[in-house]
Amino acid sequence: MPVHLYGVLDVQAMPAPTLRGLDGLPVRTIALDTRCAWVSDISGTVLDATPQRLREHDAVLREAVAAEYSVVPSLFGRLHANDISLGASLEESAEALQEAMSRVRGRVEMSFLVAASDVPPLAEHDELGGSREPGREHLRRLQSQIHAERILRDKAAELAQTASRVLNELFVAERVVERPAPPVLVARAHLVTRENIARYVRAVNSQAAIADSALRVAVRGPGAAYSFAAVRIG
Amino acid sequence: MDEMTRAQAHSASMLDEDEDEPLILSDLLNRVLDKGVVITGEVTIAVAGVDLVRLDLRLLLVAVERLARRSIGPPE
Repeated sequence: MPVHLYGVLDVQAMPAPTLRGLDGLPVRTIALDTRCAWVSDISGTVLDATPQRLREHDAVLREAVAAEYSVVPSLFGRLHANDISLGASLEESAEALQEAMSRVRGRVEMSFLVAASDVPPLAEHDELGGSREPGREHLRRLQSQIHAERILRDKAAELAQTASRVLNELFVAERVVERPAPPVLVARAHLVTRENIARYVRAVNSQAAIADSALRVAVRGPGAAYSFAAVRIG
Repeated sequence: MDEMTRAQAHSASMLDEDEDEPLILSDLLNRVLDKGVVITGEVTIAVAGVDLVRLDLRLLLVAVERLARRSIGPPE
């Protein structure tokens, strides 16, 4: 039966019996010497990427992180034919896994996201009805909106740069997310030791407090270190 | 920590799993999805019931792959 891999833990650890993974399926373990993999059995051979499944995949790993295990996460998007096939792939990746495990031991991923405070309202057709040149007016508004978005994006980038400098002593690695999916304008992920989580949040908070009111800053984490230790298995 | 409620305006907030779905989905797409494999599916990012972005992941990935080939291949 096909299996979906969530990640590899540094110890043999059973997930909580109540923990559910993709599509509400139970999460079980595959023993790997001193480590283990958390997986779910999937009935089909294709696993569509849906928002719900991305959240479920992430939620399983966040449970492991919350239980203070060191976790090498698997990215969402690969399905393994069966336990034997997955076991062989993990064996092939043993060296990379070892390296990734060393990187994440005692560490978690924190990230901060910068987005616009409010979603800009779209012009209603009715609002253009009274104009003599509704087409030109629509284009003018569009141009103005694009210009405003560009300014906001520049401000967000500047804010992120400053925040990174302030956070510098709190993280051991940083990843700047390239072209983040909207509505996020700028995102940066950091590998942070567990004892620095609270300080990280406070430091981002201090930057958010002096940020332009048009921007909203949010913190996500602690979570699995996808940006720093995800290993492609298979 | 993630369950912290949204902080006051102008300060950073921990994302609320229910209220901040668009931001969380963006974050998941950025970090959790393996862009190196061909996968199928659609992801729609919506705010207050209005679709902002609709991604056909299969098309997106094919397009990205084509772009990458162009950038390293001979000029057409």
